[in-house]
Amino acid sequence: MPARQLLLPPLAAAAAVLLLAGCSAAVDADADAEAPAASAEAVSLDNCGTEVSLDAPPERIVTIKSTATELVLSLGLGDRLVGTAFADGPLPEALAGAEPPVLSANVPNQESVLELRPDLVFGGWESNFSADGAGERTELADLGVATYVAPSACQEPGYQPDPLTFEVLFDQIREAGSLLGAEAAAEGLVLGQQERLAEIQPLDGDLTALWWSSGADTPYVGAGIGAPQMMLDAAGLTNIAADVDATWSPLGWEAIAAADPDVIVLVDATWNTAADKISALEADPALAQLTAVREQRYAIVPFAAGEGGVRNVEAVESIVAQLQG
Amino acid sequence: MSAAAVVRGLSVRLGGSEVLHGIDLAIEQGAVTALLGPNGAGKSTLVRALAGLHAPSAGGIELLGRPLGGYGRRERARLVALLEQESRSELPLTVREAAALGRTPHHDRFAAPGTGHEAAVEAALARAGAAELADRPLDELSGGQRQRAHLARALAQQPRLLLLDEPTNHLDVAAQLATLRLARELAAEGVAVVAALHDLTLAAAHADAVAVLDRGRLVASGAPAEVLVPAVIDPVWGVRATVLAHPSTGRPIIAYEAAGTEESS
Amino acid sequence: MRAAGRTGTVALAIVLAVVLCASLAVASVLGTAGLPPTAVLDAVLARLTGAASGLDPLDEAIVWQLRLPRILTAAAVGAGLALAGAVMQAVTRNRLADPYLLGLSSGASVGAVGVLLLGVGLLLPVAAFAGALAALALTLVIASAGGRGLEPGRMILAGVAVSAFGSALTSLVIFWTATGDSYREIVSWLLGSLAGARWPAVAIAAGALLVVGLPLLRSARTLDAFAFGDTAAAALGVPVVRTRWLLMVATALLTGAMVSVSGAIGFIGLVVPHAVRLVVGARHRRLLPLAALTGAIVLVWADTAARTLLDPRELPVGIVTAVLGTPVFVALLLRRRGRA
Repeated sequence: MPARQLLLPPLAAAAAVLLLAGCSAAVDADADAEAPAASAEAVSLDNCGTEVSLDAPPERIVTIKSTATELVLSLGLGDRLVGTAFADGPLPEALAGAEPPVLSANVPNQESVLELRPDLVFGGWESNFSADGAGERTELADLGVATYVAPSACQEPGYQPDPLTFEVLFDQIREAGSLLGAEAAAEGLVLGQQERLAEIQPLDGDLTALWWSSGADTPYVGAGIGAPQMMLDAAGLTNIAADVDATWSPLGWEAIAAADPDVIVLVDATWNTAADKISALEADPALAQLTAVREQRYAIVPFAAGEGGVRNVEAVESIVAQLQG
Repeated sequence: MSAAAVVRGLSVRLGGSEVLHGIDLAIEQGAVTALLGPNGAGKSTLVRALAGLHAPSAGGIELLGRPLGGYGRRERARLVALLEQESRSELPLTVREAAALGRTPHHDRFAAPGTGHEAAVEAALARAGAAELADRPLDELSGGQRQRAHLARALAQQPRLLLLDEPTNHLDVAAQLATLRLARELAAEGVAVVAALHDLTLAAAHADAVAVLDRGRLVASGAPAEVLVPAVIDPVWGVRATVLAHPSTGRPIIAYEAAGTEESS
Repeated sequence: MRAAGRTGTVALAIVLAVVLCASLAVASVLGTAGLPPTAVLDAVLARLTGAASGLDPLDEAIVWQLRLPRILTAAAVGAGLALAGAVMQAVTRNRLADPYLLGLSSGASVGAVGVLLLGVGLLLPVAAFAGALAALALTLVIASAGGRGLEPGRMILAGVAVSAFGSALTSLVIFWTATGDSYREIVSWLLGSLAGARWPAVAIAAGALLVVGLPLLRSARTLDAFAFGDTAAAALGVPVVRTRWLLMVATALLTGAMVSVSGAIGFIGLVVPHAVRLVVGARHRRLLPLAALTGAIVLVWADTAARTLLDPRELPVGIVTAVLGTPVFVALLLRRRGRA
């Protein structure tokens, strides 16, 4: 009789725990059955040198910069987007109609980000996570907010893709998919992009190209290891700055004139439009002599499509189409 | 002796307060006039007013018979030279270069310096006893040596009226005597020399005329032996003075005691 | 001895002028385009004589439209900044003065960000020049408030205040509006760059040098008179207040023109007058022309380094002058302390 009395409370407790676990498992199973292909596994990965761990897919996502926003939308996670910031331009046609909530036109400050109670902040540039920006990554992690930087934008040598290729880019999309709990959507997105990429006929004729992103007196151009190089390769163009070991780099006009590219890819941004770039080229007595300027062989790419993201394949298609004929 | 400068009823206001009141004084050519008085008496202000650097609030100054204000700046600078108490320079000039500045008012504005100017500078350097220092930079020199360089600058102006504002402050005894002896020589050549001094005995030994200032007013002026008497010295400086006559020159030698001290005799 | 002094100056000036011409010649041959010297010569001769050169029009354009105007602008800006710096140091009696003392560079940068970031519809050089003049006006108003004339100490303090204000405004605009990577351009401007210098820039810089710089050269004797302070200058017959105003405005116009063309290139105006003074002394008749020639030579070489060292990339020339200028400045300071 004493032994049974001793055993009863622990047994009862154990039974209660098992019962509750069973209930919650049942609840989880129900939830799983309703959510679209959501994974219940925890994810942990090394993102630009910072460890990012999520126990469950994020429900409240804040994105900074167009590449991040567009990736999240392309994965069909628009309803989990609670704030977007620092857009580099309007959404592409494919995503037109989605109207994600806008937090800020520029880099938001930490308080306004935290006010949205995000569980993940996805930034397109490493510099978005600074003390006077969205906040330091470690600080946000301490507050329970996970952070993720687009891997193509990592600056540190071990993490910066060298070079960035479409395969690497697609792997990055898959990684984002696993982090966000949308692996199937990511796989589908990648497949679609791979098909489109395979259908592109690169330009023939061994054309050389300049990828002019911004800057006037000293142009900032796409160099050898970043997204511009990746896109120029796919379009069948030879980058005159391919030997420069950087993603983008300032380049002297004299070097550009010496290389005399056959075509010029102009990045179109609201703060530095392609039209302004063309006017500047035509007005300059030296640059007006460039072959590409005399023959008006330009291709225009919107800024957001110029960085690593879901619009790069489309950009390559556009470049080829613009320069054909 | 005609007057080089005549001060009539001169009052000068600086920073809202009247620093000189109604000064009447004649500065004779070919004579050394010493300005004496305690700190704050207005000696420097009077010296600078004679240089044309302060506009009078009342009265005026005549230079060689014409109102001082009527002279053009360069014209005045060719006649009046000022040696200030302190001359600091940030730039590394040599002694010769500093002295050459004295020729500024004599230069034709845009022409190259002629040999006449160079000769005047060399003569000024020699006169001031700075010839052997000519190529040394000012900031390597002692206070006394720098003084000589600035004196050379004043002399290079070839002035008719030379104003010395406490020229003996940084000098040792020998240098003080040399400076005042030079003042006498210049006076003998017809220059009017005005020197603001602290040392009454030194002033008495070298000056032809002495003017005592006290709190902006002229208390007494005249020959040293007449002016430097206890009746004048005691109230102005707040001391008890004993005046003796120099055994050879007969000029006053002044010995002081603090006022209120018991005489020990 | 004395005569040698004067001809010594002339001799030195001739030597420096020859070095400058040689520097210009060498700089015209150096560049990322790797054109042989004969090609450069052909291009220049063809342009000057009106004949056709045998060169590809693009190569000719590289020489005549890119390189030549750039090195000529470098020479003019270097000369102007060194001259302005020397005058500023004399007028403020402060050896740490530089041409930007009166807030000129930060005023110009406000004008520059206005155009580059806020889209104000002025030409960049015009806006920069206007900004510099506005800063000058503000500094002079502050410095002369209270009616004591432009006393050097107050001028410096007023200039510091206006500089700080201009910098803050510039930073505010950059921070507030800089989207994407547009900050790159303004940073390049702030550091100083000659990459955008074409023939109009040559006209502006050389024109300012001739119109304002030459009269400044002739103020040499007046500048000497300021050596011992306002009282001594006044006693030497110099109209102190009026002269100071004139010199300040002239220096500001000269500096403003240079900054509008090249951004705020640092160290030339501060270090070159110092170094030249160490060699030839502080008499301005000697110092001013020699400092101008030296400044021209230094900037031509600094710019050549900026555009060829990291072939094919380019540095803003302000980085090169800072990297070179800082150790030189420290060396000059140490030498000063050693002597004194």
